Amino acid sequence: MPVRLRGVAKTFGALRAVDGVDLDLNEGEVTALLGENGAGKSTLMKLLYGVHRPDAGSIEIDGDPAGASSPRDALARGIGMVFQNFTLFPALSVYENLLLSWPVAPWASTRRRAEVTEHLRALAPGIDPGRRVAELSVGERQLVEIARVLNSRARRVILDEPTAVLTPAETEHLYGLIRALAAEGRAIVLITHKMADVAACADQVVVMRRGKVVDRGLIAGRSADQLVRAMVGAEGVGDSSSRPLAGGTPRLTVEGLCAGKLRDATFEIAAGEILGIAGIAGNGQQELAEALAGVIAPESGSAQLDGSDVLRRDAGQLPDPRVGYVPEQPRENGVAEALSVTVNLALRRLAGMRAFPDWHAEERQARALMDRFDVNPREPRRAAGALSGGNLQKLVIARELSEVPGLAIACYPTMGLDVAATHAVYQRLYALAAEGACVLWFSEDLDELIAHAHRVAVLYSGRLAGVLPREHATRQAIGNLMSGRTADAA
Amino acid sequence: MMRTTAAVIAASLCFVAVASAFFLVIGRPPLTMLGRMAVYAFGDLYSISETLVKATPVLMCALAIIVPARLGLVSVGADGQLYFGALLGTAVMIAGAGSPGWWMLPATLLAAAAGGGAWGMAAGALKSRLGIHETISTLLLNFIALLLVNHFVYGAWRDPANLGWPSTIPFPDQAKMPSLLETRVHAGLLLALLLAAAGYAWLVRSRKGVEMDLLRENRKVGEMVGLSYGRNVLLAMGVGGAIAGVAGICEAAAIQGRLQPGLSAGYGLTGFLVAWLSGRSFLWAVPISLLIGGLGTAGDALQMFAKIPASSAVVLQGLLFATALAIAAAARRWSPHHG
Repeated sequence: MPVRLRGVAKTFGALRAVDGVDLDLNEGEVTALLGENGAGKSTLMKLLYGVHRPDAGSIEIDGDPAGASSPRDALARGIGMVFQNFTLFPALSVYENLLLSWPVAPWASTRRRAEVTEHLRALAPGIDPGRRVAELSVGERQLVEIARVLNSRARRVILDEPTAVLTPAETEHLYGLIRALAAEGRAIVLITHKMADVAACADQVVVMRRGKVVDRGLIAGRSADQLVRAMVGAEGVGDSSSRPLAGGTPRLTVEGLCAGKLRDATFEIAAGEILGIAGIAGNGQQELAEALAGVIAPESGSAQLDGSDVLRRDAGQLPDPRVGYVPEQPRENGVAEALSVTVNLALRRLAGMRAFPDWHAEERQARALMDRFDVNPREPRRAAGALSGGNLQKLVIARELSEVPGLAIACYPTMGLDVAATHAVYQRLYALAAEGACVLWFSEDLDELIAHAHRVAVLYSGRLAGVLPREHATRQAIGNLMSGRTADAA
Repeated sequence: MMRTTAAVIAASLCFVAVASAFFLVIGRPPLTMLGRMAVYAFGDLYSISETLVKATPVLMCALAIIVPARLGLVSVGADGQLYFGALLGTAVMIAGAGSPGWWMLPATLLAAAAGGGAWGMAAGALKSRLGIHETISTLLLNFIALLLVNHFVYGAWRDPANLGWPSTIPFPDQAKMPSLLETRVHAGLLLALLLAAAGYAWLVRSRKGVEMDLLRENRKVGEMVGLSYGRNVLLAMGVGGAIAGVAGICEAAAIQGRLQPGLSAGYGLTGFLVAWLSGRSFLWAVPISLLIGGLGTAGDALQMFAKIPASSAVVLQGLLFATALAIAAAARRWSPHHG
């Protein structure tokens, strides 16, 4: 018997996160749960997985109308969930992580090792179970998470925005995997807001907006436009404006920059230019971004903005006010989750504030920024950690890029954002460039870079493998550089 | 605040229940005993004054823990800071004993604050420079400070007039906190209350408080916006230590009259528990310290008048902490989630 949700509702404070949703999950079927950030997709699935209890409605699992009382209970009934924020222990090995959640007695033995890593070997033959999770890329971690859920014999697997953190190749691999898992008779729920995910592997699609289901049905016979419109509502998506032209003289000059994995990076960005940085995660992107943002002190090299140094030379130095920095994974690197939205929006000015700041004025300012960057819900006193991933990303962008900096560094700024919010990010980056800022844009979405950057640079094992002007920046050329070949290799 | 109040009421009721059970087990009528305890702790001016005397060092030690806790540091070093502060304060007293004057009280207080602060900053420096966990270093520094005090009072500073009893010469009146209402309560109590209020003002609405909150919650982001973790660790440990140092000199000068072994009756550890019970709140630490002081006074009185063993007071204190921590944890658990 499948899983049936009827009239399920959940309210957090004044927020109706899920509002009377019906949903059936059938074996062998992939259901795409589509919606904007904060539409209630994750909350709905957390209700099914037993993280929260519904306020109203019923969740029937295999004919039992009681629903799952806890994630442990959900696992026992064959429901597994892979979260957006991974739940692995970074200090332990892949094998140890899998062993920890192995449903029967977790004693290690050679035979057990083969058993525990069986799903992992099928999913990702390239991952050595002896490696520490901390050394894995986000894509690899996700595969371990999925292996762990499969180990629990889950017959229904919920994937929360699984492609948000993956490279194009990893995404393709995951699509194949999802189809294969469904073909083995599992019910798969794919929480997403990417049309590509829906088109690639869903059987039925359920579109949510503001806690309600606004559209549902088989994927066949629905166009992407139709789904986007259902997802964002009547206001729709604006048309994307054309790429502004790059200015002339270089404003940012980076020479021989070395920091950690990053080796000898030399490049220039002109005023008003968007330089895209592509590359597989872990090839020096983080070091490049953090060195230019003044988070880490580089080992050698120089970086000059308008002729003066932007690099940090010693700890405790104030951040360069000319640099706006949107870090990768803002939940970990960009905010203090327990502190209020107001405080998080004021962080850059904190060190320069007077001893007893006027928090009421800060709150008004925060509210204005939230209006301007559409951060929801508009509750500046709420802890930043309570915001959804997309709204958290908007918060960091509002803090770092609300004024026009000399250099804007954006690391995966659209990761986890829905169509409308992604569009808003593009608009913001364009506006910054139009006003003469240098924009350094890291992305794993090649199409995004090809469409929006003036030039695309590729990092490969810590070095700039090449910088392609837009007319030569094709998927093929970038892909070649990303895998260590020359741009024009066949 | 509503939730905290409800939790405090629930904790009190639970404590009454388990304390009653304890009295039943040792064969005493629970209600009578509890009633007597309340009278012994808060029943007349003398009881209240003794309660306040006990609450004063506990409150200061709790504050000494709460300040570094704002930064996420788990210090257990209030006792060591108390001892080392008392040691330095006493050194100033001994140096000036020949010609005591009005300057003696401020000078000993400052020396004690500097001593306690230095003791705290020692652990802070170990943390910020070498990454040594502050809980371990403060714990070990406690032993060193206590043994240093013993070293001096058994040795160089021993008062020969005191017939072999290990202690320093008595503090002159000029080195003592003025007493209040002609009881043993001294102005240190007012200072402790003032420090609690100042701590609240300093760390709840100020920029510094937010800086510490930020470094506690996400050190990487804090450093990204130009804050120094190391400097804040030194500051928090230093301020906390200074408060504990003042507690030490007040206790030695005003209460015991001399520096002698056993200066602290576990005030540091009790203060630590008060700090954690109060949820690291400067304001809640005040009533909880008073309650602990009252429990101590009532325990002494029960021992004298009701002939129950001295250890009963310790058992009751333990029961109070255990129930309060359980209720606090339950209150957190039952608070609604935000998703």
